[in-house]
Amino acid sequence: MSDRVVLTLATAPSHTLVADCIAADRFASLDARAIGQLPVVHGGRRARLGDFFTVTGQRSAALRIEGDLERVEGVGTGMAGGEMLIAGNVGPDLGLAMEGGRIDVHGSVGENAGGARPGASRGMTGGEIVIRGDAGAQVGAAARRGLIVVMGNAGPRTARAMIAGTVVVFGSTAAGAGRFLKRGSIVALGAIERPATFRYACTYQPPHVPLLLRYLRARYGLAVLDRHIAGRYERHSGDLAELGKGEILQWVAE
Amino acid sequence: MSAPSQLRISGGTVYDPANGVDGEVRDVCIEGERIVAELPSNVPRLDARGMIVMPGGVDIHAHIAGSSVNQGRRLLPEQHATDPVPAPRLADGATARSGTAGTIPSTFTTGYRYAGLGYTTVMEAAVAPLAARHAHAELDDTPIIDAGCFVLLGNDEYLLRQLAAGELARARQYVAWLLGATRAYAIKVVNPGGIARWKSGGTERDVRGIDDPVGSSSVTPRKILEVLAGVANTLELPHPVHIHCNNLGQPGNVATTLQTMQALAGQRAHFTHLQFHSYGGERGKGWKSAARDVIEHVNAHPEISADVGQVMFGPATTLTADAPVEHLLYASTGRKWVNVDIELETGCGIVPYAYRQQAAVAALQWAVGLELFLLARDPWRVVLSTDHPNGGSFLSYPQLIRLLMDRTYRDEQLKRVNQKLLAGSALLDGLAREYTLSEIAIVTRAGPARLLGLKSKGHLGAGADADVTIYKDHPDRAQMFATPRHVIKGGTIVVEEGQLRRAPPGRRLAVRPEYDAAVTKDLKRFFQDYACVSFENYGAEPVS
Repeated sequence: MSDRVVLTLATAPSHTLVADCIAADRFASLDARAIGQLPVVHGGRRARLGDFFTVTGQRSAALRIEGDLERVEGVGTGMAGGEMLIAGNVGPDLGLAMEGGRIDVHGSVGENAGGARPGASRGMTGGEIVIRGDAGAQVGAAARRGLIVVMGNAGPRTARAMIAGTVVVFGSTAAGAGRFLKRGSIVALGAIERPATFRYACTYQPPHVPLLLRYLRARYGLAVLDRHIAGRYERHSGDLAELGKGEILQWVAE
Repeated sequence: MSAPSQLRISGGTVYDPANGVDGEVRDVCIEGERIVAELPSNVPRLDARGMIVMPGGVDIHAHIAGSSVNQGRRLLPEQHATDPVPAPRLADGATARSGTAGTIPSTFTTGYRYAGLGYTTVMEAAVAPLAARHAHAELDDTPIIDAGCFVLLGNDEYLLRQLAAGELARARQYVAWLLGATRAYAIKVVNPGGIARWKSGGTERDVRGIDDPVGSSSVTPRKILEVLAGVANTLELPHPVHIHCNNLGQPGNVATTLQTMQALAGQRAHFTHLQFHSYGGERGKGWKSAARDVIEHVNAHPEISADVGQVMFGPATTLTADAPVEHLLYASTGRKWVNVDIELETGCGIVPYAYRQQAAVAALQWAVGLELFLLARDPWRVVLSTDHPNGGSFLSYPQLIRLLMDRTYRDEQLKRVNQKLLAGSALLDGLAREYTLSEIAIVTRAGPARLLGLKSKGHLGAGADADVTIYKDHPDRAQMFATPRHVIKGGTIVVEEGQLRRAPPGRRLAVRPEYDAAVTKDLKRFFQDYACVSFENYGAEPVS
């Protein structure tokens, strides 16, 4: 047992590398050799995780991944616990259908982070994903529960068809945010393009937002501004073409 | 030619109810593809001492091949991603295929898994004639199991036209021709008239009772059922008409179910997934169990038979030709769905589903199925099915067997389910019955084989197909039935020491009744006017 497992990208993939075997909780019961033997798919061909990453440490649910992972897809798929720190950018499908645990990305992520498997009706069902850079399209799509925080900008169709759960965006949020949203919240601290199917409800100080922002500051050390904590928010209800119990909470200056 | 292979399964405890063998220690001898009465003592032996020997399982009603099943697979890519199945390692390096499982396994996986469960014969219960070639192509890729298709006829445009015109003789000839042309084994009726109404697009989207007119006043569900039951019995088909009644899955449908049974009084008929047709209550006002009324009728009428269509808790995929029902299910669940009109013949609807213990209706359905099993007096006529994948996967059969055999376990499960709709259920009165191993052998093998008219299946007498399943005796019957120790199919040991080792192709079971060729002349005109395929390209004759 070590303090943590560290995966370091040693051989850069020349094609897309689907590494949906990487999940912090999964490594808690595996030794370094077994971790290296886990299956990945590189450019449609089968390979082993150890063909690309050097593994140090073993049998720990604390995981750190280093290297340029922009071509690596599906990291944290189905993860149900543990802590994962990604020291740079990472590709699409991060935390796909994740159930629990925490993923902290010190960089940007590709599309569909916290989203659903192709065809599935539910994306992530629990856990937390913090993205310190930008998020690609469809972050939090179809999420059923859980928290996603984007410190940079979020791409198109953020929280698309989200069932419940929370997405916080510190930067700007692109078009199509919250389309087909059933319940759940999008907290937009920057600019957001709201779909026409959202309706303004009121401007108020939602009590849970300051709690959430203080938690993010304390737990992850995120640079949360006091004016966001003390600020007022416009509540827009939607998606009215769906269940309509969701909300976009847009920060407005005091 | 080499001598046929011989094998003596020695010392096992044999359950062969068709031949009156109830747990006797005796040998079973196999020569080539058949069971034989006796073999010399020096032939190879399979030591089955302390084990339980039964004929291979026979599934009378499942959905395993064809266009609707495949559409279901296409609808569920997430199940493929989460449940991939590597190719098994077969003996002698024989080629095996990987696949996917989930609620609708891929073709090869279906064959491997049925065999792994000790089943050697499976009936595909709903094939649209237009898709018969597709169904046969998939069954060609479903190894090990012998399989047959039931062809859908209860809403067939040509048939309904003949009934409307009073051309009953021609209708009969058409059915006889179609059975042969599609290489089918039996006639299937799904929601007679209801799908035709659904497709016609009027304000009435389904039939409500068996005397509702369908297009013409002379065509009713009653008429369709009478004619098709009559054809099956006149042609002396091995299996009578296989009926999925009107109003499936709706409260109060017991009235329709009993009327349907009475309409066919005195005729042989098989009522499928009876559980889905045994609800009291009233539409929009509530549900209750009416299993007692239905099973009493079945008990009192030896000419009819049924399979239960048990609901098992967990994921399922509802998949049926009963398109209006699938629309209701979609509307109540909001899940993804498919609904297809199959031209002149039938419909198709698919909605993925999950039966949850906490859900009141699912709990009622579960209880109704068990009531039917436990109140059935003749296990030969009320056999086991889950209407795979509608009520649950065939992989849940072992769990169902445990529910039937182990009252303590059953009562424990009963306490966990939602009780809201269970008032009046016989299950709450404490049904004490526990199925014996012999009765399980009847409802999973001997009974279905007899109802299907498969004389060489479901028993271990001399001349029977050498389909044998050998279980290691275990007090947990679910575990015992889930993992047979050995499975022999047509004389080949396919499962050896619990491992799938061989996967020979299965055979197709089909009928080919005589018909008057005059019917094809009229049919050709009909095809020319209305069908999307030419008459010559229709059907499922093998392409040479």
